[in-house]
Amino acid sequence: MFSKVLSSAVAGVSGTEIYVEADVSDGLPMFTMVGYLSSSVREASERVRTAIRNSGIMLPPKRITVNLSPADIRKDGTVFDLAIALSCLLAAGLVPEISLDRTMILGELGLDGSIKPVNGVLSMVHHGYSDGITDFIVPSANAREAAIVDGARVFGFSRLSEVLEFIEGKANVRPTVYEAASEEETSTDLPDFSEIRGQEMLKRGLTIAAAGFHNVLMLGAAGAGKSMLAKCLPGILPKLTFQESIEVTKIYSVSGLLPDTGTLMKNRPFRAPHHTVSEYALTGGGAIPRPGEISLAHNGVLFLDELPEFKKSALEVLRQPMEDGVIRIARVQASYTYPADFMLVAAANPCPCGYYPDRKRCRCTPRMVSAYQGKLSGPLLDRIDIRMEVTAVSGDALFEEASGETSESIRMRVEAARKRQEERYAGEKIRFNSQLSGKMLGTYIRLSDSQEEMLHACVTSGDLSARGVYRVMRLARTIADLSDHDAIGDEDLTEALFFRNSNLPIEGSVIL
Amino acid sequence: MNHSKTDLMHLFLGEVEPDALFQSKLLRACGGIHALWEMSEDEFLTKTVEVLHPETAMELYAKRDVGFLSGKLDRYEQAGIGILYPEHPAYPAQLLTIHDPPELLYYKGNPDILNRHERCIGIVGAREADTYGREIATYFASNLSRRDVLIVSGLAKGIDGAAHTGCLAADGDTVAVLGTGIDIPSPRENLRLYFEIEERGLLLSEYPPGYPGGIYTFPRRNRIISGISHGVFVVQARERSGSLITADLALEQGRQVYALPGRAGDDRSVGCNRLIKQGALLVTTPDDIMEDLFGVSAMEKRRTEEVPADTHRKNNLAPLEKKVYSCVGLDPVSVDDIIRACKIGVTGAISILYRLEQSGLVKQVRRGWYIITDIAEAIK
Repeated sequence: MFSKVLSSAVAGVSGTEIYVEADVSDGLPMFTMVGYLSSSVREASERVRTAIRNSGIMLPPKRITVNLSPADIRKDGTVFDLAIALSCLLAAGLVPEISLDRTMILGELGLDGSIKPVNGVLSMVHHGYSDGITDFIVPSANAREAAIVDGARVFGFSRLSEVLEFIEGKANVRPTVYEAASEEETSTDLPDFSEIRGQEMLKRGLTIAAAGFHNVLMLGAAGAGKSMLAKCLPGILPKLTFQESIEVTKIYSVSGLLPDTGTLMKNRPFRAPHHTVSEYALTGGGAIPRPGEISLAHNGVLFLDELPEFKKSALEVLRQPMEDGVIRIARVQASYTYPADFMLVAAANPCPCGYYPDRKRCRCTPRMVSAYQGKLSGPLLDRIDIRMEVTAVSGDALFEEASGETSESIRMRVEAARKRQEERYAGEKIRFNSQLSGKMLGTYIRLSDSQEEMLHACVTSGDLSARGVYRVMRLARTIADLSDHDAIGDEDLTEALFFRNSNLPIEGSVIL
Repeated sequence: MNHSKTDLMHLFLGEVEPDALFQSKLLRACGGIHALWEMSEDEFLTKTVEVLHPETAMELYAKRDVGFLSGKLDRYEQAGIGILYPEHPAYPAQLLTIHDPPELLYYKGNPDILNRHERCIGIVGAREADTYGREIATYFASNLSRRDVLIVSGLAKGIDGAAHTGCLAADGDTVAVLGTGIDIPSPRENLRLYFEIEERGLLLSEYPPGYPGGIYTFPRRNRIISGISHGVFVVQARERSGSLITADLALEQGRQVYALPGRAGDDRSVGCNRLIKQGALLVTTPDDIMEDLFGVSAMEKRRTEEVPADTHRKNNLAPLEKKVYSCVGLDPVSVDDIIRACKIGVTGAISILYRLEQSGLVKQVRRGWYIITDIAEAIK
């Protein structure tokens, strides 16, 4: 007898439907699985047969053939176990023949018949629901995550026997309802901006960056507080919108990094890969590609501390995603697209020892210094809007009362600036000022004659490149948004000129 | 092309090692440059037997060939390179007063500036100078050159480069003495300066074109810097610094040594402070140097107008602008320092500093760090 049930696999950060077909026929007792399977799927036969037996059901000693279709997609992972088990039982006539056409079945089986959680449930449910699937049978540990999809009827189970009871109509199971995470679950121990003494310029720069999603480079001696400030950054980033939240949660779900509670991600991701990271770990990769650090930083911050220490190849791969907001990975079997719209926050020491230009401590030769800074390639720097030079806080400032603004109050201003941008770009594909490009700049940014003259003077004096003008205009727009100005004010423009990424030399040598 | 016999015979002397002491020894052995040029090969070999290996002497004598030497001189001229020797009218007169003046100097640019000025000052100092040192060097160079003093330095990074820059900015005359062949711009950082000096000043070297230079050539050329000058001004120098070599040479040559005082314990000024302890003249304004060079009365006559800083703007600063301006000095201060000192916000501070910068009152030396531009005012 033949049966067919629906399951799903992950492709990129989305799902793709996979049908599990089973046929039980007379012949030598065998369990054959076909359909372009990886070894982890092939091993499902052992898990499924044992789990069924340990749930108190004997499969008949017949020839069982299982096919996973479409057969041209490489199947990997353990998500099909439960679907395979059910289709076998249906084909063998061991459970009543009911329609599972509109039900997607996901889950891994243990030998004892328990159902274990799998990665990417949100993506698969989301995709299935948009394709018209209404009911979802998922591991109970994934139920909350799956229920995020509004309208989907999600049933969570922790044992195979429970699923069978449900199908037979013996148990009355209610669909899981998603409850938003309580405050407790989302609270984090982020350092607060108010804890940082001095560094007013840096705080302001990061506020601007957060408001317009601008990429930032911080240059400065070791111990000046670059990393500390970067770690404060998530605290002033606006909360994720629901749409963004779904995007982020999907990526984390696919990567298996979702917290056990399986709730929607509320805070913007902050990823800080170590500088030994390979380019594949950054972009995503592997024979079956998984999202890399840049995708995990989607809608959030990718913090690269010690930027020049990163492998050149790793830095160069950032260029295309920084432009497009997505990363495309091509593999033999398929090509995948992962979202990678992140804000780059980079920190760099001025020299290998970290103390240049303090010649009391730094013994690096000028050649070493320029070689070190030369590791940052032009194209990468070109995509960075804000550059700041950091110096250690002076002793006086260190022991003054910290009287800075709290992260929460900065965040309010950032949210307001974001709101202005959202309204402005409602009909466009972009969301932030940093994404404004050539044509749109003209549409959305108007400068007064005197302001244009100001920029023109900077260009003439060689202070500003053509690209630099765009950069300054984008920054000025963000600064104006922060101060709630409809038109860009003169102060906004001067501040943008100040913070822009330019070629001002570091003390003593012309670099960057 | 026809070249004067004197040019050719000096160029011939340049075919031996580019070492003034060795060259003069050779000349003494031969009895002068004319005798060297006129003598026969046998005579040359006998006379130089003490100085040269006979084989080297034969090789050298083979180059005593008008065709060969004229061809060489033609190539030099095409490349804009000329030669100077003690008999040459443009040869710096002051340089002849040292005990080992170069017998042959290569130049690019305009050699007439060498003897056009009554006085000449060498400005030297650390390669790794800080903003303060570079600003002082620039200021002194432009001030002194505006008062008709020739400025000599070595085209090195840091103080040297700053001195040349200041002089060119004031449209003054400047001489760069190189430690490499005249056609080798070194260091690379000052490439643009090299071309500018070639066009508007003078590049000098005692090493033939193409000579790569070595660790000994740079200290050697320092004697030319101090030799051309009437005094040497050391701006910043570490404990063991090439600038101190120049100062020692200057003393040996009977030149005055001026030094900019530094803070006790400041690495970059240890050398200068020691010079002062040993009797160098402590200098804080260009007037100090002028006074010593020309005497008080003559100096008064040479007091030229300072390029007027924007005094009108400075006297009409808004109260907050004035407050911010008063925080900025010769040493770079950061925006954060200003914010703390003036109790203003980041945006306010940045826009005030921007306005001051546009008015030319302050200057951003690196991101977020400012110094004042009116150095005359600051060191008065």
